[in-house]
Amino acid sequence: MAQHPTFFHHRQICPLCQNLPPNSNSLCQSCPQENIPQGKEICRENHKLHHLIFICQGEVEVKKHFQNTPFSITTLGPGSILGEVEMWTNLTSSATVIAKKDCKIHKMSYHFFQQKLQEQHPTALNIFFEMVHLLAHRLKSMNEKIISLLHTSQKGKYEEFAHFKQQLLQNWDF
Amino acid sequence: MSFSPLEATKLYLSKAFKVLEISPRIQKLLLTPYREIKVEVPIERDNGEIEIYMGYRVQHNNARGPMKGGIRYHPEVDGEEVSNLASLMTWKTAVVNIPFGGAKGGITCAPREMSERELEKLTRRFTERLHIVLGPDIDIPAPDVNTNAQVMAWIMDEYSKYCGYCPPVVTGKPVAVGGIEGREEATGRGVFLATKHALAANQETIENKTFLIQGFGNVGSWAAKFIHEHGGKIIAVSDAFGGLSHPQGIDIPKLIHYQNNNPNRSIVGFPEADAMEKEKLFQLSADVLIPAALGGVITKEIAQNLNVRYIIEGANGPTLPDADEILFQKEVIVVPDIYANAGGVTVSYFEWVQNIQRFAWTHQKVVQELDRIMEKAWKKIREIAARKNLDLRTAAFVLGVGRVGKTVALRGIT
Repeated sequence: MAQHPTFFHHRQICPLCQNLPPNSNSLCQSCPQENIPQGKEICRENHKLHHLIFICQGEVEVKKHFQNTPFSITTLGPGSILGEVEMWTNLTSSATVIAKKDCKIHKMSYHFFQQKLQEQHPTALNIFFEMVHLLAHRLKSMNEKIISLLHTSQKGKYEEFAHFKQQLLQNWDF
Repeated sequence: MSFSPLEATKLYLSKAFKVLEISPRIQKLLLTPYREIKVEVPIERDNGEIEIYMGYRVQHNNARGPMKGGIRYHPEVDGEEVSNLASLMTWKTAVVNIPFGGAKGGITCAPREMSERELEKLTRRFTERLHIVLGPDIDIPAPDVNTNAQVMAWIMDEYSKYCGYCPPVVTGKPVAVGGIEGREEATGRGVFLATKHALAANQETIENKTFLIQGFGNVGSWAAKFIHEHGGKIIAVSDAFGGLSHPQGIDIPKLIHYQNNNPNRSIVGFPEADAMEKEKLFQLSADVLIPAALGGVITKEIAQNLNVRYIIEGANGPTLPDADEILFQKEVIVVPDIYANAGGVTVSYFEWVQNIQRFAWTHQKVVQELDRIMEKAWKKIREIAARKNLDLRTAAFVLGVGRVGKTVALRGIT
């Protein structure tokens, strides 16, 4: 009987899990694996999420709504984790996730994970530190993006207004 | 294709923006109103019933000075109409280069079904609601559809209760409460002056030219009087009830006397001209047509059959955009409303100056200054039209928008 792939078989793909030790399977194995058919919604934007979701197999599409229009943000594959932001903020899900292909996932309740963290379970600790690492990188990258957008936007506005002024003052005698 | 006044204004503005190369973001800056106000105006009617009316004031732009525009009482007043008219006032005051921005206001009511006492209550309550955003350096109302010098006197009095004696808060007042000599005739005189300058541009004069005047209210009758005094032949006139024609020209002073003494204030029944259906006016041949009544009367179909050389727009928006194109092709000279009927707001400016100076102007000075301002604006419109190969309406909008834009640019937005 062929062994089912587990989340940690793919951990090298996910930035969250690529540094986890080889014996990390034990934590995940205590959570049941679920089959998610293609097209099924795994979580919905603005709805409460109670689990960390580990993708073992397949592909999911992450979508976020802006002014009532859904925009595809990214596609994630085996080795990815969903729900880490929601776990720490206690807010509703920030995006909708839909299975793009048939998927196998593990669901680990926040309560279970946090309990393991308090017990200083090595895998839970590793996941925790990797989460901090990942979130810090995301924050840094977002800050740079915001600064870049602000700069571009301000520059555009000032140039546009300067052109408007120059045009009226130089070309027209009102 | 039919155009609402709002659509027509948008079309004319879009042409001006294109000529001036104004980007969409700056266009938005120029088009967005400074402040829009909607208030409830409750009054107790003479029969003891409480009636609640809705009042509006849109202050469009104050880059060039305090905002200026009329207040109208009409059953069809609504926020969109008021907003559009407020924007037009911004461009109009800029075309004649007076230091005002644009505003407009109104109350949705049927003034003909109200007593004078009810109208006074309505006006005072509306002023009470608005007084915090009015003022000689903020926003200065004026008469408009179904409002007059008496209504302005009530506004001045009510505003003065809150802010102290303040004639310059409103213009179009009776002379006895700080009004100016010649305000009543001002829009009509402006139309006459616009006619004079348009003809002069082609080395022509008013004398012996033939005129059709559609609408014989305040604007049409005063314009007719001045044209008649300068030797023009008014061969046909019309009002809401009917029309009159006379191939040798109608005796205008006699017609005005007849109208003033007619119980329903109509020209119909005047014995010294031939009666005709009011619609026939547009089928007659003449040198000049002056539409001086409602907007939207010159449609595409009417434009195709018009047989005139000049149109001087005394009314607001009498020519629809598709008719405008036909007239341009027929080489009819259309002097646009944004300039032609700006005499009223220009003399309002003189009244405001007079009130601030506390020094009354003579009628002669009012007439001289109005002529000077109308001539200067006309020359500028013609210059832009010639330089950019534009029709006069687009040139006038270019002038108005350009002047406002220049002030906005110099004052800055941060």
